[in-house]
Amino acid sequence: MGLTLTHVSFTYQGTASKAIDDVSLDLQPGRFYGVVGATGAGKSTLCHIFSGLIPHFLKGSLDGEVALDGQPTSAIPIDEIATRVGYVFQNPFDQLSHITYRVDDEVAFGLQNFGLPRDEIVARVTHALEVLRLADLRDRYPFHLSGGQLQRLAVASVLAMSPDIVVMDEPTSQLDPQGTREVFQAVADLRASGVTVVLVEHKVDLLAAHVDELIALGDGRVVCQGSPRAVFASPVFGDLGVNRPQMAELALQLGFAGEAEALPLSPTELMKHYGFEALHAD
Amino acid sequence: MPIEVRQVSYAYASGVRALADVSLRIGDGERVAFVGQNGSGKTTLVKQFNGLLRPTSGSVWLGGADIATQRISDLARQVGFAFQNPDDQIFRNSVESEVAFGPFNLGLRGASLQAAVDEALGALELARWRDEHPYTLSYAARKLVCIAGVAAMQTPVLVLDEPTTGQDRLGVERIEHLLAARSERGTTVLVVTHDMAFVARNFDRVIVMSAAQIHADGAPSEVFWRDEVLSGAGLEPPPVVRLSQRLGGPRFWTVSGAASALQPRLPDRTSKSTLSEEAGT
Amino acid sequence: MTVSGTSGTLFQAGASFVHAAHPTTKLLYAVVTIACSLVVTRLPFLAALALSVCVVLYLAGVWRAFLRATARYLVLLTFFLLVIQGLFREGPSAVLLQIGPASLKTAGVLFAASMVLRIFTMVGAFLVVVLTTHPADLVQAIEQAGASPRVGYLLLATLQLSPEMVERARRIIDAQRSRGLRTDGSLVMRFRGLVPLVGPLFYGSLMSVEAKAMALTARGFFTQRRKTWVRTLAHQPWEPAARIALGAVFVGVVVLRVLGWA
Repeated sequence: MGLTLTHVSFTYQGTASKAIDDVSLDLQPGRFYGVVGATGAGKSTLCHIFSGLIPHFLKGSLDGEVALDGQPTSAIPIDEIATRVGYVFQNPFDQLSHITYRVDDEVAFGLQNFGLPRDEIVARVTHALEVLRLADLRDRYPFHLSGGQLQRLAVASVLAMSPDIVVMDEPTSQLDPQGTREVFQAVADLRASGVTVVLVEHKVDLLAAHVDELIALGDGRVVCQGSPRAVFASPVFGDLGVNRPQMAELALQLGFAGEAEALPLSPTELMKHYGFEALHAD
Repeated sequence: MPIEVRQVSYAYASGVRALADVSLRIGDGERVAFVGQNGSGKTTLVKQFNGLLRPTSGSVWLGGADIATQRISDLARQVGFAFQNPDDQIFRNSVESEVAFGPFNLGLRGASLQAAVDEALGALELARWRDEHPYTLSYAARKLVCIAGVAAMQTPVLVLDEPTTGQDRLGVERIEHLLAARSERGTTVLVVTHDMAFVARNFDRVIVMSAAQIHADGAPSEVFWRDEVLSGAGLEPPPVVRLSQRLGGPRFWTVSGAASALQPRLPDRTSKSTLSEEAGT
Repeated sequence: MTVSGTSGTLFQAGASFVHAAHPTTKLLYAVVTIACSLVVTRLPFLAALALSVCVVLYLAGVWRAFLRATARYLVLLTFFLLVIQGLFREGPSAVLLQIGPASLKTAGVLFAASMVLRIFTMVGAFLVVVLTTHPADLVQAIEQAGASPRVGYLLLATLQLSPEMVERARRIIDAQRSRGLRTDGSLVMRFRGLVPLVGPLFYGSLMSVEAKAMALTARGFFTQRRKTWVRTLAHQPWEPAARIALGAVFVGVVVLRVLGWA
């Protein structure tokens, strides 16, 4: 069960090089995956493959097998995939329908399209708004929300479809620290409700603190994969053009050479690792 | 080119007060970062420097002259301003002509125009894409094009709004190289950003804004230690600052600074042996 | 989930019988009125049509909103049509008013008046629908009547006056002026200045079209399944009669025109 990629490659129509090159992945239900990589490493393409937009919407040549619960995604209609794999875009302005005038109507938009019974729609909308802490804003005009609220609305509209997997492509890149915290809180809430989450994110310090597993991409390939510590400690990670969390970077500059699982990710861990004494007792 | 803000207040047409009696002096060639949440007034403040917004009360002085009566198109000679979203300004069909738009407007022609464009493209390593259509490039690359377009105007003051969003490490490094090069030439470099690690690495002066006012103004070594101000403005210092706060001793605020400060304090045993012991228990 | 939000729309909430009517009836009203204004040629009939639109706007309680939205443009338009047609319309005609070398001709003034009345009627009838119908209801009605969701989407996306679009236009102007673009000066310079302002808007929409289409696909917008409508649109008991009356009026007007009376 879950989503599996077996030797998957993809080349966009009209381009010469592979955006994704021989990637094999197995996304286990209920886990939280982070995806990192430099610009052009294939992060968005991977998200499009997860969500079925490749091959159903974006054209090109797809090799290998992408299976959702054992069934090839190429054989599942895109609107069927959409009920099982939710997709949160980088920019909420692209995601929102632009034809609703209230927060709750926006969340109901997809459910109406799928023809769910009316009562079910109302119940799901209420639930999604509660999970994303938007219940108080349900009658507001979407475009009057703050950046963080707008992105949470995008997540709520995806959650309402009750997908098994939610894929998010840099959802905090346009947000300030407050908005970013709101979205990370939203992701935590999603996880708590049992959803598998895939999050592409540049903010590695936050990512390191939240994800179960990290997938690092370079030139369309999975360069390393595993626990955040294992990935950040990996010698090949340094060549990807992606920052490490500051504490991991500092430990490596101080000559860290231990087991990957001991790589410090927070100040507390770093102090403990090197036996540095705190100035004040905490 | 010194900038002086004298008791500036600014209210939007909606009545929202974005600046409340702000005064500020920025000397020639300074590197200043403005930080704060959205809505704190930081972007409103820097937009006063080139006349995009005019104070409701108070005045802004550039190089000793009140800019109240100067046109934005003339102020553009003094203050180059790169906006956050590249797609709000890119309209030409090649990277090169896009970058040439600003300096052309300032009156550069022929060889001097070409030199300005080449220099900006070179500084951000965009030269190999000069003939590409900007919209065939990634968002991150378009953002660099947009910064190059403003850098090519070679103004004495350079303002960048959120330059690092969407950039990978290489992109951030290119921006840092540009800023360092401009600083060396005496350009005043101002940035509005949420990226505290970027601030820590590149700026000598940090201005914290919150609720339409300046709440702290000083070196990173001072401002990052003012916890109540930062949290009041909804900001977090970078993790290395947290580490430095807890360790005491000489302050550090960048990873490389931390590494050189901590190197002498490393325990005699190498980290490797500590680890193998830990692993053994 | 009842529609109450009016931000980003021209919609004016209200309790009039026009508000209560089903959107399709209102659309029929607008189509018939606009068609009549095109069929009719005589000034008294045009004036009567325009007056009828005023009455409907007044009864719907949106008369002020209508004036707020249109008065400025209608006055300008009237002025220009009067001047241009009155002074420069070709052909022999009595002179209504002589001001120095300029003579305002009767035929031109009459032509201008009929144009103004027509435009007023069309705009007014259209705004009866827009001002009294929430855009979401309008599109739901059109889709339920069998139109493609794409038609409904286009209409609705066009009708939404999203603050984001205004914001974006402002950001583009700021960005280009910061790069030394002059938006004042001679007409030629202003015209040149338009390209850097319109260009980013154009490319920006191109860029977002693909993302928006993907988002709509992922949200089941193009699915063949039967949609659920959370809100129900009711027909008033008097509406069937009103529709027949509208049809009769149109037929009547056509007959009058054919007979040469209208």
